[in-house]
Amino acid sequence: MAYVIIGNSAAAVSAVEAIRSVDRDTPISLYCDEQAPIYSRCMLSYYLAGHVEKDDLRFRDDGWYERMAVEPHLGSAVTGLDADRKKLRLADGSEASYDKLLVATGAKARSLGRPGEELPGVFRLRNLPDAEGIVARLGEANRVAVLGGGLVGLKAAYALRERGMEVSVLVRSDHLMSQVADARAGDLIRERLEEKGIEVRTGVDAKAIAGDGGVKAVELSEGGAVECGMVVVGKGVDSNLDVVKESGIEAHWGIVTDEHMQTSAPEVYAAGDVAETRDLLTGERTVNAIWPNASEQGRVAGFNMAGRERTYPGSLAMNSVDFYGRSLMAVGKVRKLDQGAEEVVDYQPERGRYRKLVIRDGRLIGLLIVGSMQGVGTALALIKAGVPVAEIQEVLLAEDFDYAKILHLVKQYPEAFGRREFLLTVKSAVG
Amino acid sequence: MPRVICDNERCLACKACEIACAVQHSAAKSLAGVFEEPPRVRVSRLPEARGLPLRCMQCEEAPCVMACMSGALQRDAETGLVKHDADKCVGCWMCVMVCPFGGVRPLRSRGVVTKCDLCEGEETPACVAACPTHALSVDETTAEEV
Ligand SMILES: Cc1cc2nc3c(=O)[nH]c(=O)nc-3n(C[C@H](O)[C@H](O)[C@H](O)COP(=O)(O)OP(=O)(O)OC[C@H]3O[C@@H](n4cnc5c(N)ncnc54)[C@H](O)[C@@H]3O)c2cc1C
Ligand code: SF4
Repeated sequence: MAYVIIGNSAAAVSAVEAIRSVDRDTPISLYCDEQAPIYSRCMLSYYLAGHVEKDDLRFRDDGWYERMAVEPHLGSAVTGLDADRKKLRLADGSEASYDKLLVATGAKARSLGRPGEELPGVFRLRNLPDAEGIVARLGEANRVAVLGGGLVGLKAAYALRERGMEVSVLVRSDHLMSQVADARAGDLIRERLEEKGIEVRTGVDAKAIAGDGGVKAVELSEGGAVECGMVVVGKGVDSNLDVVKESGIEAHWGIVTDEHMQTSAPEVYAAGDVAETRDLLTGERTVNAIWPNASEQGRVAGFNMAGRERTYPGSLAMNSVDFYGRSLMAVGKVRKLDQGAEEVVDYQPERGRYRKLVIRDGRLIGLLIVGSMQGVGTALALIKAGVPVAEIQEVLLAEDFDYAKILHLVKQYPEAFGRREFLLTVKSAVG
Repeated sequence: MPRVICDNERCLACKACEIACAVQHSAAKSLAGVFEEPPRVRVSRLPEARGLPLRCMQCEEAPCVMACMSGALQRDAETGLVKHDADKCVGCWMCVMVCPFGGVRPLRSRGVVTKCDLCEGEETPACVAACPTHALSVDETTAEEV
């Protein structure tokens, strides 16, 4: 018996830790195309900003492989798999066998698809080499254009501003973070970025990147150009499906998984940014490509691989960002209003405060906040478990909302809070 | 895994636990520490002079550990406790977003979070020792027993 893991990031690490919590003995091999030891790509913007060193990117220490009894094959890309023979094809032409396989190959940054993208000075931000490339070029450019107003684009913009660059964020939609938030929230973030000297231009589209041996400007479809010596493209991600391409394993946006995180092939599991799961709120198949989902899916996959049945309840869109002390958190369906859904809003832009609940059929399906993070985790638990909230709308919207304020509901829905933890928080309430 | 539990019928929201926690975790372990070190437990006031101290529940399936992208929050292999390493924390607040209990507290001024460490090394956690109504206690019930 041997477990094989492809990937070396959130989903992979979490799966290994789950397996090892119940099975100390069976060999685990891990393959990763990148050379670097375990590092967190979410931290790359902090590295880019100069706030942390390269070593700080590690979210597990050097002794981890040994403690977990994992045989790492770093710098060894998997190029394909034969699910009938249970074999992997490696980049050097050799093969490796598995009994149980986890595909945790994550995602790659989308390219811009416009001329000039290959010019020196044009970057994406997904891997350590991307970040190192930007850092190496810092002295050569004063102005950077960031294409895209999503999470990664804005984190890059913030980081490069921290390095003293002149930053212009160019966004096609009419507000920032349009994939995760609404215009009110996006504009509150925009306000803070602009206060700190980051230029934001919405409703503009990059037609081409101009330059000769290096970036000179971004040309806009609307006419005109933004001069810059560097471009960072932040246009979202696509799952890394190459490994399963000719394997017959079912994949659309990502590799299709069932509630055990198993793929259409026996003994082959998938987790993280590469995995397509059922969305907890819409019931539709999708890739919710964020770190907590990757970890949880990896954990569920790991337990199932080790023969301990676990079911995955479904993925949830959620995000947290903080720019210059202004936080934004978006959980669930907050972007546009679905049919039959209603919004309850506390919007106080002068205080930098915004709180929006989205409710459908008496259940919370979305929460969007800017400013105070009070009670967000408790609300998230209510969303996940589909707890009826009609009676507590005002409580949820209040500035002092927290777990203690809904103990009566907690008693009725202990599973929303982890049954055991609930029993222990309010012992007398059930005793 | 041990954790601090609360008999919430007994809590009078006096905040003795908050003060004891701050003192315990301050550098000098003195009352001056109340101003220097924010408590890791926060008493939420309820009507009729009641309250509930919000704190880390050391969840078995800890959502904060799964959300933490810096490795600051990890489960200690030996004790099973959820531990936070402030040196690794970058203040992304992902853990705050997913903790159902409000047990992870953001410290904006420092750009990190803080949470209960059960006063590791002490016989009794400071909050438990300080609670005048004995609402707080340490519970060692395991998952199987519940
Ligand atoms: C700058 C940045 C900031 C982010 N910030 C946040 C945030 O604040 N919150 C959040 O929730 N998410 C954030 N994300 C997203 C988050 O990083 C991902 O959701 C998460 O990393 C997914 O983990 P994963 O294990 O599924 O895949 P990945 O992290 O993509 O890792 C995939 C692994 O597979 C390896 N691999 C790929 N192909 C092969 C192959 N053919 N052979 C061998 N190995 C292969 C890779 O080298 C890598 O080790 C951010 C991402 C970036 C880039
Ligand atoms: S705020 Fe700190 S502890 Fe919490 S998830 Fe972020 S890095 Fe981890």
